[in-house]
Amino acid sequence: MLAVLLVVAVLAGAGPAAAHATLTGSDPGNGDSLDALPERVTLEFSAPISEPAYVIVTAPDGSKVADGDPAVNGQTLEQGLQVGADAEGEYTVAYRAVSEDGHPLTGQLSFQVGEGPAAPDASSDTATGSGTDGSSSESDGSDTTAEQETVGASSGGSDGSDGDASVWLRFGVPAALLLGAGGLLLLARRQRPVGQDG
Amino acid sequence: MTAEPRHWGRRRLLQTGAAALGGAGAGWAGAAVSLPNGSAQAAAPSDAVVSSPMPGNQLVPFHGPHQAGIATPPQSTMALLGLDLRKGIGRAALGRMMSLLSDDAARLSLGEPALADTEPELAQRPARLTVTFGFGPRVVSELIGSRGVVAPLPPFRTDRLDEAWGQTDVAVQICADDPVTVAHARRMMLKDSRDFARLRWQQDGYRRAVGVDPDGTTMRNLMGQVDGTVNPAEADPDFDRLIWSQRPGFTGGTTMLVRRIRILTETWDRVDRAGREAAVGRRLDNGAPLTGEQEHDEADFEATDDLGFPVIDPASHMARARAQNRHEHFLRRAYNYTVVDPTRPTGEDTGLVFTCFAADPDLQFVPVQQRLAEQDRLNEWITTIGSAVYAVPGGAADDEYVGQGLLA
Repeated sequence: MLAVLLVVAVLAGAGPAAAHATLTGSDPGNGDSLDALPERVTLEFSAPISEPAYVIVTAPDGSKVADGDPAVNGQTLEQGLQVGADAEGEYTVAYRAVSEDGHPLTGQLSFQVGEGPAAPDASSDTATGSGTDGSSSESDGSDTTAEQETVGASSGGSDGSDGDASVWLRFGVPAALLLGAGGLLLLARRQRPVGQDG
Repeated sequence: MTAEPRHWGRRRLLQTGAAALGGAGAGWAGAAVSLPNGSAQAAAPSDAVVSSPMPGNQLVPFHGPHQAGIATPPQSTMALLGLDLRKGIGRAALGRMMSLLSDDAARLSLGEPALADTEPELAQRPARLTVTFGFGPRVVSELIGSRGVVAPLPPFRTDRLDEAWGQTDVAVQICADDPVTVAHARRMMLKDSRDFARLRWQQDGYRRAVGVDPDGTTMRNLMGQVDGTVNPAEADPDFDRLIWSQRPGFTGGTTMLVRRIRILTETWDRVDRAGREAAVGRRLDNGAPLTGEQEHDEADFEATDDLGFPVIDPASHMARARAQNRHEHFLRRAYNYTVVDPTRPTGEDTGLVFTCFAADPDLQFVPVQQRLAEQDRLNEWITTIGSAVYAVPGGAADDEYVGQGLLA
């Protein structure tokens, strides 16, 4: 019975609006402090993204240190970094990806290598760099939060009502389905002949 | 009810778009005026105000150096017939068929009934009727005996071709600003070709009805996109080089490509406005490139945003289709299609009959299509389900039929 509820929950979550990908985490994490530049940066998204995706990695001196094109693998994006690029300081990772439902998203995050201006509030186990409720920075003024925006439509349109609709789809439909499933299960329970286990 | 005798008076031939050609040289004046007793009478020359004939009375000449229906500003309605020649139909028989069909097309284009037309009244509104003929590779090589004129397109990775929409021996493109006119012309073509060929497929297409959009408005496809902004215009100095063939026997002609492209509407329905604009690289409201303001602004593919990413995605449809050299341009003349299909969850199969014209498709079209097949954001939501290529002969002179120089 629990399995049925779980299946319904999974199916309900797979509605169209839920297919907009958002960044759910990265390695290095946003605001991390590292001893050395890693070989690659990995970005994790909440839903599959399409090829191609784009990543720009900028070293403290402003040079670009991404090596080749990023690799897209379902919900993961991997960007190799150039060997020998190991200047100390703040690196920024900017990304632009497209959800499978076509929605483009873009954002950036940053991390520190070695000594250099301290990154405030750098907790290495913070996986998420998403949204404006991520770790905030204040002391040195440098922006180490991952900023994430969905790339808006350039022209007017029904974005307002789409937004309302997508909230409904994201929460209302799954909720309704779960309640419905729960109701059906209760009914089924009642119908069960006396003596059988649930 | 018998047809009232018509008083033509002095006529002035009015063109819409294309260069004035042949015809009788006679014109015809103004819209017909309705009299109280219901009979139609053309305005007398002396009190005629020079004005466009009403859409139903507008003509496009059939005869000329080029076939009509190529450079002609697209009419609202199209029926494209894919015919296969019957067994035993050789060069001479094909010539006889072309003679019959050309004669039908010439008469109907003038608003006159075809020979043995069983519904002559249906011919009275030509509505810019054009009939354009093309020959498939088999006909060109086996019946006409020409080489190097037209070749089948190579396969593209994204194609999902259905033979039901595949290559045929002959294509007949019928266009007009009125569906009844198209239906009547189609019936005449099918009646007169029946002894020579059978119909394999018919691709019907539509755009906005005449008078709905201002003249010259770029069409929208059923994905809602302004479609065809960058398109060679007859006035462009490059038009002749890009469109009209120089191949022996086909001068004044061209090559016609017909690609039937289905929209995957179920998944396209989930793409939001931002996703739709990013996939193509153009705004939805007016078709302007994302880096511009107006439809015909040149796209700036180098422009980047605050994070350093190109504003126009290099994988977007527009970026991938962009001409890489002076050859990669062709004349697009597409029509929307919708077919009832109860087997689909949406109840319909809808998309674009992507017809285009080029003097040399291998040089002009294939490299572009290859780039799109390799990468195009739009591929997620479209599938090419039909493909065919036709050598389109030059226009027929007065008293000639289309292809006469090749078949007689």
